[in-house]
Amino acid sequence: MKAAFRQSMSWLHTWTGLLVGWILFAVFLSGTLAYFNSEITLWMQPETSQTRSQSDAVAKGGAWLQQNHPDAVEWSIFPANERGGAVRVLWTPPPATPDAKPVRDPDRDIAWLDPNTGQQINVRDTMGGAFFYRLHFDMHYMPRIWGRWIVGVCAMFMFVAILTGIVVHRKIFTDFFTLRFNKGQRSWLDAHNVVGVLALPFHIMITFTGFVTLASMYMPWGIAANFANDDDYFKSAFPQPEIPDTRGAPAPPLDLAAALATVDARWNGASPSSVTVFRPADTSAVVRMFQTSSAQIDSRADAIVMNRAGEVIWAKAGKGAATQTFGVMVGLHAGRYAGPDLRWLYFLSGLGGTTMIGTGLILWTVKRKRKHAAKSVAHVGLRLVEVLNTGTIVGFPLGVAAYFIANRLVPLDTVERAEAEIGWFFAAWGVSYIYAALRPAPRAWFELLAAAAAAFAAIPLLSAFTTGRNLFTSIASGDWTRATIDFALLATAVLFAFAARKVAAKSDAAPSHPRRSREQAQTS
Amino acid sequence: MIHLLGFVAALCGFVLLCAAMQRHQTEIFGARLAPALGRNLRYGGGALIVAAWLIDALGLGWAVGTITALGHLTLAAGLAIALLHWRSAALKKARAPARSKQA
Repeated sequence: MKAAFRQSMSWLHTWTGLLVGWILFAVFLSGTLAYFNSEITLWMQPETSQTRSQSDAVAKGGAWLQQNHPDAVEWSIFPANERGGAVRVLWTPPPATPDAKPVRDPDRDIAWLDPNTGQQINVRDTMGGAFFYRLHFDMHYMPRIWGRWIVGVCAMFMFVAILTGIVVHRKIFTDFFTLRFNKGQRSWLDAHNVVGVLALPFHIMITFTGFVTLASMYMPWGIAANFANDDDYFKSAFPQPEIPDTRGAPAPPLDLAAALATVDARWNGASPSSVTVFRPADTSAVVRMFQTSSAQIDSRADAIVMNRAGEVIWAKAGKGAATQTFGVMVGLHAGRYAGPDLRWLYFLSGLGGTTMIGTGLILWTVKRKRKHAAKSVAHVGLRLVEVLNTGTIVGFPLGVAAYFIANRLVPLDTVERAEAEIGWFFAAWGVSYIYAALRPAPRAWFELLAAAAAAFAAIPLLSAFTTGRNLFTSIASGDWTRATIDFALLATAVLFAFAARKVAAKSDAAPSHPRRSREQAQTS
Repeated sequence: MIHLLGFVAALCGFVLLCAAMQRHQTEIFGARLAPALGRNLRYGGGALIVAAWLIDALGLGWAVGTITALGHLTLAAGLAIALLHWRSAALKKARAPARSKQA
């Protein structure tokens, strides 16, 4: 009975893992990269310097708007956090006639500022690290809602695979430190087990909280039973600041200093992350600020509304237990609260999860290859899995390299430039599948791994030639974020080169005629 | 600083736990240890793991400290496995010439 139970769990583990493994690999790796989304964006916008103080960046944004758009009817300031760079400012110009409705032109009424000088800069049009963040749960080239359903279903499979994996593994403590190299299938299983067990708390947490982030979409019945519509639910669960509508008399454009002093005192020094000023050139001006999400684990940021003098006219009341639980779970998942040390731990655990999925996928083929090799017939299913494995495990990182390269090579005046960069990502990834399908398996692994190594090594070089920044200037100027990314890219190149060498050595060593090599082994 | 302390405590804890396991003792020391010593290593390792958690929790607060401790434990266990691998490889290498001389 017990053996039968474990066997059925093993079956479930194998097939839930395989069926969605490729999507999960992409979801895990993009999510892992998204832990450094602000840093990647900073690297991808070499025109800006790094934000030293988020509050100061808001003040700089306010000052710029005060000077350049004093007559606007609305200002918005989106500073980067201290991990990122440029400040984005938006404004709504006054309507042509007093009775007309003010309209904002999304292409024209926007500017980017350097967070430290407050000067307007021309940053390149890129999604930066936000692309990986979006890809992680929205996918791409499809309606968001589809992407979220696909990722949600895959997350459920992941959860099943984790739980069944624990049952199947059995020797979690005995095999805790066991990792044997160069033993074929045994080594892949060891590696799969070790990365799975070591980061197990992370895997369980990240899969469960990932599901929770979109729980109300996947399970809408609780809301449907208690509220007339979604709007009522959102109003009740996440009260939004109310903006008074009464108009006063014209006044000089608002100075944010008073409002910033108020939040500085109320939020124990936590910075605002998004600031909107309604009617800045009126005595009735209202300032709304959301607190940066790095201030607490809870992802639901505090909000506050102030008048011209910086006096509070609305503040978020205490949160209910359920909303707070939800907010903490989402916060735990996204890790926005994490400082640099904890962020690296998140990143490494994420890489562990990615490796767990990758080794699991490879293990599936290694297991079956031995069986089929005995029969010496080509197996369509095995070949399909092999191609998908190669195209995903090496192809996705190759796409990441292409995305970084595109960021430096796509001309700055390209229309829809950000989307063009993303096109490079999917082109490189897609071509990897075709390439893997056209080449015999070991060659495809080797050649794609070598290509990935070359591509990652090329990025810091390309960057040095196409921008004023390179690894040495970054280090010299104390720009550690960009220097670390250059280092990480080079380290990734070394890792892929190492993997390529391993594959090459293995396929050279693999006997082309198994029988003869066995004879040789016996005679020696 | 807290991160370093927590991580080092976790690493030492896992190294002791690994040394406490009979199956790894031959890889590390070339011979099995006395059962009593193995037991003490296990208690010591367990205590250090708890210490790692306490260091992180007291230094960084219970919530963030606990999350950080889990991260430290993951990373430390990974490094402990790498250390075990290097140690057993070095031991094998050191023994190989000795054995061939005997032959």
